[in-house]
Amino acid sequence: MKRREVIAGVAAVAAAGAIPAVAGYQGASAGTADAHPAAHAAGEVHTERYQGRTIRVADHGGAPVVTIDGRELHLMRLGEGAYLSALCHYELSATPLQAARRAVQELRGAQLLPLGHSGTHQA
Amino acid sequence: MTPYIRKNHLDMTAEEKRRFVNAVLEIKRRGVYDRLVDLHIRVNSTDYLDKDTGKRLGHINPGLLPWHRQYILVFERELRKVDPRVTLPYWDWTTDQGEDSPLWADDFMGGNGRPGDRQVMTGPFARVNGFRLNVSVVPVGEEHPSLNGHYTQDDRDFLVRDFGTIAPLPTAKELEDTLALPVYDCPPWNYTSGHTPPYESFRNHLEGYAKFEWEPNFGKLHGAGHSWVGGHMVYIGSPNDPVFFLHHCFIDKIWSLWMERHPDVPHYLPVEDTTDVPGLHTPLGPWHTMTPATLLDHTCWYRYDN
Repeated sequence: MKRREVIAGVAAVAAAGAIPAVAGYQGASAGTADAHPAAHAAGEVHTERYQGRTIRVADHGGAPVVTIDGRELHLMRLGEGAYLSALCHYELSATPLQAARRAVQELRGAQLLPLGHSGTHQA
Repeated sequence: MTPYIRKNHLDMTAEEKRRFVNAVLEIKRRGVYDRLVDLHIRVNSTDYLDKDTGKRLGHINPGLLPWHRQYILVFERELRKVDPRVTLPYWDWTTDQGEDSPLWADDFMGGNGRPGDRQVMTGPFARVNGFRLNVSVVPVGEEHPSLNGHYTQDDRDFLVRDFGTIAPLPTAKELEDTLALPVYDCPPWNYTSGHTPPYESFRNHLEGYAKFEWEPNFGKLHGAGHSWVGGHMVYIGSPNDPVFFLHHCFIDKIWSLWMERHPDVPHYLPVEDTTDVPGLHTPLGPWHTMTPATLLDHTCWYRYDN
């Protein structure tokens, strides 16, 4: 199965959210529980297992914070329903959760590096 | 100085390829290559920050084309310090689409990633052949990364490729349709520019965040080149894959072609100093040596083969 179809499937089962149809390569994707951080009460958290990894999306003062297995995925919000992460930098994700799932696919089992890492790989 | 010629990699001799690869490996050994990867990550990060001050420079704004023109020129000059006969080749993905292209041969870029972890195992840029990624992460300070632009990635020190899984390569028609657009860019100068008729953003259609109503998906052209290769080419540290520079060399050639196609329109917009994005006369960081205006004509440095 092509990854595109996997994504489409993910989007199809997610609940529709009130986001504009600006999205990444997948085209307009359905929203999710995290359609917009402002929709959350402060501190509300979404947690799920996805492809064997634990994704957590929390709202920190209006900014979404995504972790995968407890390590933060760096996320950039470009506008309404438009996010990029360090692992998918050339396609927009409609939600932080969609960005997190795509990052899990791209990690292929690798670990995000924790904050405070020295910046280079050890020999 | 006589301008040198950048050519399609398909027209390179075995000797030219050998020289190119050796120069890349030498600047990698010297640490120059990794500093350029780090620079791209830093600029890329701040291009997307939800920040209060400073302009976005290299991505998702009009600066995409001049900023990358200077970036790959800096890369090429480093190669030419090692070997003055080397020039940067380009990859024309509208016609050169096969996984069996000489592009991916063992004597040039190496091939696709292996099944499973998609690690590249062949060619000069395979980890098993000594090419180790050092900048899949940039230093992290006390601040939250979304404030200082220090984005982490992951713990893989090997190059990853996953051909064709995310997106197909662009077609010649996709390129032609975008080349026909007569306006360089338009407000709001971001990922939404030119989304609707009359599609007044050549830049955003080339970058891939805009599409025509008859096109099925976002992510065409520049975006599709990154996505088709997959792996590191879709991460924030995409220049870790040397094919990045052949891809962006073709993007640079396309800007040049577009100017020839539309000689009487402004070849960069906005002309005036504009909040958040570079104007025609804004020095582009981190170098602050050239502006979009001074980068418009490349023929004093290099020309394309056709």
